Amino acid sequence: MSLDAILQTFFVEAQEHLESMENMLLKMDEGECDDEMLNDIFRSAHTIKGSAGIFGLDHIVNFTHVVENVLDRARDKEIEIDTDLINVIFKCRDHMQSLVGVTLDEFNAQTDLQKTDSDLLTALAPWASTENIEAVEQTCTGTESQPENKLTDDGGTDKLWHISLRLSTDCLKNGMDPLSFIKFLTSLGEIKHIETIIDNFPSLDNFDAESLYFAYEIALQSDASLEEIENTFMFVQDDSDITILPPSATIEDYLALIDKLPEENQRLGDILVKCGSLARHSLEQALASPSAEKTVTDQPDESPAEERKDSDATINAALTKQKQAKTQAPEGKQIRIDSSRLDHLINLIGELVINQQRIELLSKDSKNPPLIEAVDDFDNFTNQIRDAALSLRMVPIGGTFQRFKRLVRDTSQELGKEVELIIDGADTELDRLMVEKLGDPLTHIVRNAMDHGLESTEDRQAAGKNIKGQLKLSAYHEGGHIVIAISDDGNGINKVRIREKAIEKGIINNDSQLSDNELFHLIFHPGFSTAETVTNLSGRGVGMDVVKRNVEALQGSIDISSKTGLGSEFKIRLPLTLAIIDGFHVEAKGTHFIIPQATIIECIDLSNHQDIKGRHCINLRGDMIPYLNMSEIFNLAPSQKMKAVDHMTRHTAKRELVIVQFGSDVAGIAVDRLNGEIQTVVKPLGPIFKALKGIGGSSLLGNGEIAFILDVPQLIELAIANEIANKISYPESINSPDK
Amino acid sequence: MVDKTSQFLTFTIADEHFGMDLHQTREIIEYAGITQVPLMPQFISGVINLRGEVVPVIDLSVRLGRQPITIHKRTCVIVIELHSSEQHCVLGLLADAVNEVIDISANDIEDAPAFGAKIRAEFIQGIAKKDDEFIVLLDAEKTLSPVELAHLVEAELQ
Amino acid sequence: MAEIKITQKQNNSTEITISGELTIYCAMDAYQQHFQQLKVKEITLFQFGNISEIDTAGVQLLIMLMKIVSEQKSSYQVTTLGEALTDYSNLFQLNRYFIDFEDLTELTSDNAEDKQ
Repeated sequence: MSLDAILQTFFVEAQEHLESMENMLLKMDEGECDDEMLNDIFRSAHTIKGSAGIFGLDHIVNFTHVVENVLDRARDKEIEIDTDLINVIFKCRDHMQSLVGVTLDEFNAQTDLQKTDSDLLTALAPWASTENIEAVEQTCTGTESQPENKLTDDGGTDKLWHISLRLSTDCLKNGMDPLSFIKFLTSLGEIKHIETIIDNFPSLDNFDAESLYFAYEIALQSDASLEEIENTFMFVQDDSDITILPPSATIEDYLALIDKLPEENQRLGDILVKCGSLARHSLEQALASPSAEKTVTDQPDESPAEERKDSDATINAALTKQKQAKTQAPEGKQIRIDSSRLDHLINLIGELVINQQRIELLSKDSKNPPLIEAVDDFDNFTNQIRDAALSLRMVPIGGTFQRFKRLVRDTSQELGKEVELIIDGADTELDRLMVEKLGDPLTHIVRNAMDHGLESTEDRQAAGKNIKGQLKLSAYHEGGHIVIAISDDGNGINKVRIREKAIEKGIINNDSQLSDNELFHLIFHPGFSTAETVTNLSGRGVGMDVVKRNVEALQGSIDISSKTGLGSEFKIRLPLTLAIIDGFHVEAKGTHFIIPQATIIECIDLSNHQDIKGRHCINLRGDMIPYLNMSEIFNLAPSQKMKAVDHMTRHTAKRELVIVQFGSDVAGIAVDRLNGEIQTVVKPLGPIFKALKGIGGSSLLGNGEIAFILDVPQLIELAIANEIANKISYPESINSPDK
Repeated sequence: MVDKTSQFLTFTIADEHFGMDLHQTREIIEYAGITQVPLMPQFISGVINLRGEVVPVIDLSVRLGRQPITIHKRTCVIVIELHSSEQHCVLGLLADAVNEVIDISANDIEDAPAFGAKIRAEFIQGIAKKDDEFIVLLDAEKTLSPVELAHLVEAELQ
Repeated sequence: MAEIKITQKQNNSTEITISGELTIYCAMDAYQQHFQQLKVKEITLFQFGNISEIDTAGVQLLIMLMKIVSEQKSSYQVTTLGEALTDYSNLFQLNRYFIDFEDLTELTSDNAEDKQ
């Protein structure tokens, strides 16, 4: 790992800690408060401070140090937790987030950040201990506050840890200097002894000045927990050998360490004795008798038995705590992968799927049953690999939803509305790429719902509603799509107001006849805003059109439903994944198309059905289904323009109709040939073709030919537009013989 | 002007010679059919499968305001890569023949003539002369800017 | 960048002066250019007083330098230490290398004997 990569890990982890802080604070804000939550917040702050210290990000260390100590006092019940304190801590958390985002130099250059820094430190002052006020003042006046730890000042306790470091030889090259760890350890306690072992130096010719040959044995006197000490080394653990022996470690533990290390036993023993971690006579006894483990019960240090007990209890507590932390957060079992590597893997698997289809074609042609069988098995595994690979990129939506708790809290305070946020279906997984791009649209809809959707407390009271407005975020699967719904129990969308506004803005005519759905969709029109008063949050008329565009960019769609007085619901429908889709391969005039399988209801033979009144519309078991002729809407053959020829061919060629559904709309897609199901890798068509409606991307077929992936929602829109156009260009008389 | 030599790939479209900065060209492939993209303006010939990548192919001739290129046995596709545009973009260009890579010194490049070229002046980086023939050196970034091409497509679809 | 000066003196001694930043960014060059082929006389004098910045790679290089010198049976002395090295040495408790002059050859595992 390069330094950049390690820093990246720091940012990601800091972000996670900040998120967890926020969640805990939100819970506390709701009145749930227990020691464990405070501990969690404290630990998050502490870990951020610690990691920042390793990277020399002093601006983060200095600020977080004070926050941490206030949290520590709260933990120790020295101060009481009230709304004011929670509010300040919320702000401190936000500030920490800003701090994590900037380098030390940037911080020193940005006066507004520095101002927030000192403002918040002043705000924290009433809760900080006298010691911290000094720190506050120090930071305020710009003098660097030393991350000197008070733990050492408590003095007297004799908790001697032993740390054995065999760091990766590449560690210097990666920008990790042991200097930073040792410096950080001094903030956790006092280094009683440090032995730099130079035994591992190579010969003159093999010496690489950029490799690390030093090894370290360290005796650290500290009250810190095992976790805290371990965290010092969190960024090097992967390729290094680090052993931390707690004060309660037994002689056996030390012997195991000596055995494990590459250096000669006697010599290591000496070093440990020098460190003060091991008593000489215990060592001598132990090394003398191989069966020592059973008999020697000597103390690692010569502390009195009571203290030993005491330290035992501490370490046990630390271990239990760590265990708890692990069961709470399964992160321990996870690894981090650069998402671009994952994308590369998924792309490769996409190619594998294409190749597999080619092999399948060839095997079928070969009429060789054992081969066909083998290829079938291969097919099965390829599908499993594909699914497994795609699942790697799936993440639960819950994390995104969680973030809205804070937004809702802050916004409701700002608007003076009481709002309860309900989250449903947090486990629903979707493609990580989509999660990233959903943040903004969701934020906008949520703000909009709170600002315009939910009524003021007085209005709610007057309407006989619960004073507390309800906002619900939910996610669920629906027919091969993922639906994210944002609903409120507010007053519903004011249709009259939208209409007036749209006329005023010249979007529609005075006499336009619009269905409710069409009317609601006007709010996605660029430059449309219905807010009577422009608030700080929304109502600037930008946003809803961007929301729509963002959702469409994810191959999704957005629907609105609303009932006056009862509330509104925004439904975002998204495909399960963006990379590989199950499709249905069809052909029209020699051009290949793929229809996403999830949208297909059935296929019928169009020659058995007749158009209704000359429009592209059939009666399917009593339902009127409008359809689109692919060769027509994509202008695939010039002759199609001639209605007469079109009219004749329509009755000679066998034509197929694929019935598709999107949301509540059903339509047909008329093609010449159905070629069957296919798994396909979505290849974006690139920016040049952005304006092309109805085609969402391209894909390679088994034989290397290019097929276009149909964008069903857009086609359905087109179908509606064509319905109107058809009334004009296909007078009923021309098609009347059909009847 | 500093005497600096650049390498250009020269090619022919309907008896006219063109040159393009060699750094912008990636490879030359045989024309082996093309998949037309529905509803596209004439200058977009379609897309090809370039080893798993779907690459748009431009009829440069139309783009430069001439008749569409006539496809024949030796038609080839020059694959170019544009970096300086916002997105990295790979495009194919149809040409009748690819001739050679030549070194042209900056001194030998003349400014685009204001008349007679029948090509929008901003598309031309300059004119060079080789063996009594004029070579129009194209500015690929301007001629094939994805942003502008996208606008043209949008206009066509309106 | 570190500046390294090696002077072979008349009185059978070699003086090695290092000044500037001795860090990972120049350790490799410094080693290959000056130390790998180093030949010293009976006595070696180290002038580290003008090292303005040092990191672990730099200290490691100095230790290596001392090993090279002891292997050539030259007796050495650090005449000046400087602030940067003193800080590092204090933190890592390395004074015995830079001030108290333990014999480096004795500290390696081949000769590890109980010295206490």
